[in-house]
Amino acid sequence: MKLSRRDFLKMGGGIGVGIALGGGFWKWGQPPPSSKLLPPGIEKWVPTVCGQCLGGCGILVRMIDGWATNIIGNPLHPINRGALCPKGIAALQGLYDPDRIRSPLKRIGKRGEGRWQPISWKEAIQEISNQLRELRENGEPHKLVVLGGRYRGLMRLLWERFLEVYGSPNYIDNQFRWDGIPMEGLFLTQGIHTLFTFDFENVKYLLSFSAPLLDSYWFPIHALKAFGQFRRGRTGQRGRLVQIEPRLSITGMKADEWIPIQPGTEGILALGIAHMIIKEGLYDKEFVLKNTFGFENWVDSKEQTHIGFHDFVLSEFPPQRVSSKTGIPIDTIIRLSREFATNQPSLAIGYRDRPFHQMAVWALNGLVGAIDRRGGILIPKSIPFQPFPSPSKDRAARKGLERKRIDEVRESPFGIDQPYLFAKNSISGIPYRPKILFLYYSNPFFSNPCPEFFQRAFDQIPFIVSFSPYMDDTTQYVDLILPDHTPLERWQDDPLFLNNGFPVLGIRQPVTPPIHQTRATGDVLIDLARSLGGEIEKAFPWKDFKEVLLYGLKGIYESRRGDVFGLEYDEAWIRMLQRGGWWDPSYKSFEEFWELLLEKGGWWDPIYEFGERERIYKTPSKKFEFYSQGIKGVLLSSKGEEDSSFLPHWEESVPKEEEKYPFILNIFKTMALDGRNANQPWLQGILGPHLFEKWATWVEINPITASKYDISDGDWVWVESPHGKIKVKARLYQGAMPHVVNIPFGNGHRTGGRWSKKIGENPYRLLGLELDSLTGQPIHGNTRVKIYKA
Amino acid sequence: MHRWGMVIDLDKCTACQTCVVACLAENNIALIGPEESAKGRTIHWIELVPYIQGEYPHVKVRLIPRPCMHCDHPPCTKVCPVYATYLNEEGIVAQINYRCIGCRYCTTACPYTVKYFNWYEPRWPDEMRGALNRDVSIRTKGVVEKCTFCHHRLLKAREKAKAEGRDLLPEDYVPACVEACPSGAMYFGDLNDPFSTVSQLSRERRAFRLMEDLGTEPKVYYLSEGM
Amino acid sequence: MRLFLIGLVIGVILVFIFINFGLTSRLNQPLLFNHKIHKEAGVECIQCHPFFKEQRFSGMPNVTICIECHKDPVTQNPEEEKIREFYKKGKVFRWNRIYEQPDHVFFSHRRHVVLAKMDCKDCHGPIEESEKPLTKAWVKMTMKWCMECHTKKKASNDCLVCHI
Repeated sequence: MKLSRRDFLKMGGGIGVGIALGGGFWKWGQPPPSSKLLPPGIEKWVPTVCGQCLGGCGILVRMIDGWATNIIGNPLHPINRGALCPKGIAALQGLYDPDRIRSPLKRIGKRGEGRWQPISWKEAIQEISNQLRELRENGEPHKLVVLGGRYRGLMRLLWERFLEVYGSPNYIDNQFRWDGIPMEGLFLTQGIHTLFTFDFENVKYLLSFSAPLLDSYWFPIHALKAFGQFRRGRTGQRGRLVQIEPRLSITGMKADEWIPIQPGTEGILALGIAHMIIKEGLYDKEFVLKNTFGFENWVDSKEQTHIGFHDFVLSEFPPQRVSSKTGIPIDTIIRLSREFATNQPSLAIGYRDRPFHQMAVWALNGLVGAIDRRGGILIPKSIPFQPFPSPSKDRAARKGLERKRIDEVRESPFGIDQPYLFAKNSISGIPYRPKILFLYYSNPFFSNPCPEFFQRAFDQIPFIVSFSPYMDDTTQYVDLILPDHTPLERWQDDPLFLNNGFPVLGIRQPVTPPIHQTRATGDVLIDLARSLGGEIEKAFPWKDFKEVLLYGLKGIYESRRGDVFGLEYDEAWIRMLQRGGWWDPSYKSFEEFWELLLEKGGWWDPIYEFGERERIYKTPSKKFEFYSQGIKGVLLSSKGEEDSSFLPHWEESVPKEEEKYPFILNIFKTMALDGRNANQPWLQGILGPHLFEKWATWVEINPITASKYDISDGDWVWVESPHGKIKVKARLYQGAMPHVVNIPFGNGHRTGGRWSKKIGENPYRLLGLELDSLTGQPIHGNTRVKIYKA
Repeated sequence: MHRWGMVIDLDKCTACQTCVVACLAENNIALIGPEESAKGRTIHWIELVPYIQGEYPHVKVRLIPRPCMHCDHPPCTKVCPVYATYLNEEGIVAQINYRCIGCRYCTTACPYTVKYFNWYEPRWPDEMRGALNRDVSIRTKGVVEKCTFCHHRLLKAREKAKAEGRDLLPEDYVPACVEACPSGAMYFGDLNDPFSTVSQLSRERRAFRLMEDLGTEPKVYYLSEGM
Repeated sequence: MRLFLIGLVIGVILVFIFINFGLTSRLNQPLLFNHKIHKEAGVECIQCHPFFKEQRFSGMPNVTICIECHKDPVTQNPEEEKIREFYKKGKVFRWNRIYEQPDHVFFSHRRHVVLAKMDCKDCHGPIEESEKPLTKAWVKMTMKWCMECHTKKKASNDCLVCHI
């Protein structure tokens, strides 16, 4: 057979088609490569402490072949006993976020432009220590500022120690949040600056003044876990929850009763309830007589008579006045006061409102004696860490420390740091302008109301360093990034306590070696000290942060208190032994103690001692103060002698431009996002279950109001305040008050990874700079907005 | 023979959605981004379903965690042309993803809308691949998936108990959602055992099931809020 | 047209030859392992495949396991020298898998070996007789094959027993 050219081509064509078809079929039969699991391996559960928020839950991470594949609660950890909140599980996505910062980065473009050059750790540390050395040589060490956010434990002491030996008084604590711990109320009545707990589990009647118990509680698991116990954990007794709040939140939905209230008037309602309790004589007369100060009128050492809480409240806050301000009917106020006073143990809880509004809520607890009792406010003992030896300081450091703090916090009555004053003074340059700024766990361009203000301040600071493991709004604007490990990769201590006041110390240990070229900021700080030399180096005799941790733990070992975590029934046993003066821990040496800590997850001291008055009342009168003498000493100069200034009272914020901006803006937080964690798709997918909202920012409007403005469900609208406007999706919600619109906080990052960048809008951009004169922090719920279709 | 069932106490439930995220992590559920979410194509084997009643200010909102009901008379299995979904002997409504042809009859038939269609090829960034649960298979585009009561955990638990020469204990087999629940609102166990917690709770005064009038006989019970 | 069809057939055959070649070439193992010698030397299966009694998987031996016996030369076989080379360089063996279940099958060694008391050779054939690494599986593990055995041994054939 002879093949012509034509035949040859034909055959060649056939072969080609054959190969294509055959190959196609074969390819078609193969599973897609991306959806293949890795082979199974030996699993190992590593105990550590979750770092997604400040709840301090003990977790077990399921490790297979070096990969973290799941997270469950550590059943031995007394804070959560095996339970978790949604954020805890999503820590996996925080660890493996593909858009994490993988090595130190140096800015090469303009600030905020987002052009970076990866550099080595050696270069990065060199660069910072050069800058730090230069600042000290110029005699300006006080111009180093550290802006620190929400975290806990020895790391804070390490930062303060670094600044002390370096010579700067400027550690600025930037963790104020409205849904945070109402600490000013505690200070005004009990004179205490430290943390406290609410013994929810034993409460029968819980009156919540906009407290975000089940939405974004400061330690989520404490409230979530307690709620089950509060409802059905006690035979024959079901806890009753009344939620007073401008918006029907998740807490409101789960409460027995939701009472809508005019935003910002929770304080006056508390005083109205106090009025009725006093008028009807329903308060705990024994507690008030024995343990409180300033209830009745009193005479001071100069024989001057002062008005007491009793007379003040009776004359100033009759139900008629309270009702007209809050919009709550008089009979509801009367009913609440009777229910609150007669269903003992009862407890009132608020949010971080203005200080004297917090005090008003606190006064209710004083009236029913809910202080230092089961089902009341408890003051836990601190954890006996071994204190660092006091460092010796060189001349430069001593001189620097003599300088005024940039936020003038020593003049602030509550002693809370004032990040806004820091920003303001950085802009004005009075008393001075910072030269180097470190950002640790802080993202003011996103999570502080009125973020633009911070941007203006940062423009004045020549060198800014961020330690964030993720690119965030503020980190985008710095000069150098030294990425920290994520919590699952580092050593850390996590001191906290249970709702019932037992101190707990969780140990965070790395479950995996660092995935990228990141370093724990504690280790970096020690390296920086070493490279600066002299007294600074001597103040940091540790190799790394793990050694710092071990050093601190010695104190606990030597305190002869508590034990490592054990089963629940162990608790009673330890308590019994300790009460009897016996202390019988499960370890004999420090090494054994350390090993057990790593195996079980931490240490705790299952004891709460009631009636230690020195611990509970640190006020000048050594009692619960209805009339705050503690604040009086500080405030005299500015506020005058007016008695009402030191009693719980109400400070009205006057509505501005009500015609132009008809709605009050109420910003709320969700369980999933509280400023962090927007890079985790699992959390983005559960934002607003009541409206099926995911991956978005929306505005909740009352349906009747919306129809007046011709807005339908799902329309895009502009929400505009005097300070800015954002475009969000309108959602009609029956749980919105007619003149209040609600926007969730959490999304709206202008930069970040693939899952957080440009998702939704940040409602904090609508807020202005109205600060409370006492705390220096923004005032909640006094911004007005208008809404129109986009 | 076991008959697995779940009880959810709505009075203890805090609507925190830990169950939802625990399920996403346990069962390798596909990541669905913002655009796809906006089309309503997310997958949640357990999800909070809102019931909003009344008008402001007299509003009552209920958020009901809703897994697959594992009905004793499941409407979904009757319409499956390929036996990819069926009721097994222990009362679990199975969904065999590799058998599924993606006709979506079952998603339509289910009155509780617990069946989810994979509109997209499930994909994870390479950085996350190793973090998937190796006990649960990954679905492909075009198949239907749903809650399995974490059946893979039963396989492992039963194997472990048998290897240790003992009976399966109630605490051996718990789905991921029940395990993670912070307020202890979820219970799981054998409804055939008259002394198990779930079976006792299912007979409580507060107990009800969703859409009972349809006659689907769900094995997920709810305990109502309030006294 | 006939020639085109012939070409077509040749093309398809070529593709399958390529694919086959590709598959077999992937089965080159890093070491010419001899099961028989080891068995004769009294090494038990579990010494190198340590997990089949406790886990889903049996575990493939790696350098650290081999080196326990082969730290010093036992034979003159040049293959044996490779172990020490791998060990010295800190490398690991990348065995090509012959038996592998797809993702949607939950297969457990423990369930079969410990609970059902089956022998390795029931599924893996006379592997202990083999002198060279296998190039293909002793049996093609199809669903039918699994189910027939399940029927015979009165094990459950409920889909959920294997499919997750």
